[in-house]
Amino acid sequence: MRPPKLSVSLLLLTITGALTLMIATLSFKDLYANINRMHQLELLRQASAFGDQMFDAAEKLSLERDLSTAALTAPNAEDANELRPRLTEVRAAVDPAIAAALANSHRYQFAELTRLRVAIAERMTRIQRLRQQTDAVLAHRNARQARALADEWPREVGALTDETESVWLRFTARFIDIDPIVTLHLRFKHLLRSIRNESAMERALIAQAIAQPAGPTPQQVAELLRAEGAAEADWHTSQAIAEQSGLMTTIARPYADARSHFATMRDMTQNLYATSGPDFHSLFPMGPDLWFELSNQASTTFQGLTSATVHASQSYLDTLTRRAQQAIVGQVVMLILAMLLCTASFWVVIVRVVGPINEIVVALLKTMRGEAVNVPATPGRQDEIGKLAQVLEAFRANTTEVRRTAEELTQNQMRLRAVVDHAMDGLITIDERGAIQSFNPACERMFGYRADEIIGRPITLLIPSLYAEGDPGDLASYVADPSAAASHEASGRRKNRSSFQMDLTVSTYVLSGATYYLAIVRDVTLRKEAELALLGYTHALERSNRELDDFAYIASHDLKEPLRGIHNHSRFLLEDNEKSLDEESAKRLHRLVYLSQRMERLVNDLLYFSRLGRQELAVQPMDMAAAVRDIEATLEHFLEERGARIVVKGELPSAVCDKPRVTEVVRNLITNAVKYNDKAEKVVEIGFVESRSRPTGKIAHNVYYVRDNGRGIDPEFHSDVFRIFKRLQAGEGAEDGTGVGLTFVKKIVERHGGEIWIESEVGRGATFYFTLEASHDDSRISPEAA
Amino acid sequence: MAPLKALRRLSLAALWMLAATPAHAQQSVRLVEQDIKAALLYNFLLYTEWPAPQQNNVVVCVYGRDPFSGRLASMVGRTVNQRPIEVRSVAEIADTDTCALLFVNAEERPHWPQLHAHLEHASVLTVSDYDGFAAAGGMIEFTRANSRIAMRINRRAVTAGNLVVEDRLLRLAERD
Repeated sequence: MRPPKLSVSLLLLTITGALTLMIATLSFKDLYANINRMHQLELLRQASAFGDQMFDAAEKLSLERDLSTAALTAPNAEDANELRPRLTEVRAAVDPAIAAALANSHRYQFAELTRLRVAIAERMTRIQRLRQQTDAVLAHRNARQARALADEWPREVGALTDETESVWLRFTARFIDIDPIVTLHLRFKHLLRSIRNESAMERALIAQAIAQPAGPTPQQVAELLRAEGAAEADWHTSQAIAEQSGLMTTIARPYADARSHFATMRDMTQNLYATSGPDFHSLFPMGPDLWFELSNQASTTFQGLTSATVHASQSYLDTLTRRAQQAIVGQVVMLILAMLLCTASFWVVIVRVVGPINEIVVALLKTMRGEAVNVPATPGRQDEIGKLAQVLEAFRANTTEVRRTAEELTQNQMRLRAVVDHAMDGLITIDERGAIQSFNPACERMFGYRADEIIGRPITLLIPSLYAEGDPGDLASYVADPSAAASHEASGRRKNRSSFQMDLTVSTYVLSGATYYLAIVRDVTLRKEAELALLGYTHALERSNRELDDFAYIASHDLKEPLRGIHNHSRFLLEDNEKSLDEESAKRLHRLVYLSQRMERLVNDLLYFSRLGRQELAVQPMDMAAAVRDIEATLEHFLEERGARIVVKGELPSAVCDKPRVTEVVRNLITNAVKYNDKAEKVVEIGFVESRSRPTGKIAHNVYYVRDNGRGIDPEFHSDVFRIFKRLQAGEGAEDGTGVGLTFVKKIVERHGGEIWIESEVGRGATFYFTLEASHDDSRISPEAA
Repeated sequence: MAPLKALRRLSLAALWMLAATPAHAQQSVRLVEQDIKAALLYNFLLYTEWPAPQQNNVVVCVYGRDPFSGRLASMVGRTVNQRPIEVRSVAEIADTDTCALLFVNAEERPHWPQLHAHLEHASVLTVSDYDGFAAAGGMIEFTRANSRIAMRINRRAVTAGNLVVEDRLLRLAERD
């Protein structure tokens, strides 16, 4: 079984929860302890009050005992009767005190207390009986009975006091763990009761001694000394405890008073022992009533100490209770604060940390999967969450960008793939070791291998010449040679081991630190064959042209001789026989001479034309403007005669050409422009433009032109004007000529690699444009030249 | 308490010596009687209210020779009503003003009128043990009735001295 996944948020919540639980547990534990302590303190306070009440009742009972004893032992009826009212008074105080203490004791479900209640009830019944007996005896003055009763009072009351004291000690034992100081208080109070009992006994003994005719008996003296010593020891201990418990600071004065009064009473009876004997009453002049009153006063002073102690002890308990209450209130406040803090922590952890982190994590996961996300809103947060949100935003933007780029890349790759797959040329990539990496369909067709069976195998399988020496380094040197970047002719080997000719271009590229080679191969078998055929045709054509030129030359040259013979013979015949010949025959002979002369001119032109095709051009720099000036000077008479003038428009740049021939071109064009001009003022304009678009749409550069203001030529005849012996306007009063001029012009221009064309319309003059070198056409439409 | 004990032992020793010599029997009677009287002074202090105590200490003065033979020394340092007791022996009348209680030695009886005149309205509780002291304007007079010590209290003198004597003290005294 796999352990449950512990996410960061769960961990945070667990820690916060555990801390909260811990704080709550600790706080509740302390709170419970304090409440418990307060409860116990309250119990202790009540128990203490109950004890005080009980002992107060016991003390009142002791007073009754003292009074009763004093009355019973009074030496005479007078003394006894003096005590009666006070006895009644005390009895009236005793009964309610005992009843109240008993009633209060019902509050505690404590077995000892229940037994004590029963015991007290029994004792009180006996005390009631003792009271009746005492009253009876006091009325009848029976000395023997009185003494017996006087002995019985201390027994009964002493037993009751002892029982109460022992039960009280066991009762308080269960509270003493609450506070050590309170334990000391209880001990101190116990000591005070002890002192009081001893003093009471002492004074009762003295009272008895006073009542006796001869003073104290030796037994009484012994008992007095024992009680005196015990009381003295108790005082001593009580002082130590009062100081130790801190009680002394509050009860110092009542304590000093009580002790002073006690000591003073001691002083009063310090010589009592020396007075026993028959003269006792004259030696110790103390009446029972005075003694009783003095004892009573000492008891009152002592009561002051007891009250002060009770009060101090109660206020100490109150302080403890108040402190416990304050502690409880403080703890409750702390608990509430701690809980609020924990709630706030929970809130912070959940709302400010876990929530945003979860949102960001979900958003990141979604972004990773390419789903649409809303970036968690963390406005103005400058903490880690805010930064995380910024990072998420950047990540999301990056991911979108990466995704888009990846798509583009894929498309590019597909496009490239298509190009590669559909390329006519074979594309092969090779690694540094010469192993084939890729192989496109064109290669498959070319070499007869499928891509999957050739990839990874050496390139030499396809192109054995690449590694003639079997060293892959050769490939690098193959590429490193700059001239090698151009294509090479190489021999490829097909799968069926047949060879074929191909063009091979090798280039290199570096990808991830590794060098690769790209070989582009093209099967040139067909092209080679075509080239060979074309070469054959060209040679045949050249031979044919040459033969034609040779023929023309030979024909014209050979034709000249018989033609001259015809001419000479015709003229000789005419000169010799002109008078003898009739008019008709003479006319025919003149015609024959004319025609033979014309025939000779035609043959000469033809001869010249054939020479143009046969002779090489003598190319040199030529100043076109100077050439035009020369022509103008040469034709001066011709121009004047016909009322024509030449205008050079702009600068005429120089050209590199066969100077005499190009001069002939220009002169020919000028004379044509003058000859075929019907205007009175004939203007021939010569100029140059950087570029000119031809009527066919092509653009020619570095164009010279010759323009006239003559009749113009119908576009229908624009191509005819350059044909040899073609004359458009023969027999219409036009200039005489053989009609070869423009044919020569065209031939010369074409021998220079240039072009010539006409732009003209009827009635608007004509312009002859020509170039002297082959200009590269491009599809761009240049601005129209002027 | 050590000095007190020592003192008591000393007095006990003296007591035995006196008991052994009958010739001094009368002396020993005086001895025990003076024990009682000296101790009773404490009760007088306890149940008398002075108008406005001038000082913290309760000053007990003895005018004339000390009739208590130094017994009052044991009172020094004790407290009554939470005030320490101081004991002085006074010879001059003028020195009695600061006393809370003034015990007049019976031998000084001739000087009483002068003393009384001086203290007429002073808050000084005057005590003595000669017969007729209360009648002569003293406040508390120790008497003997049926061979027992008793007290006579002159209430008018007490009232005149601006003092209040509580019932518990009056209870000790014989009824007028």
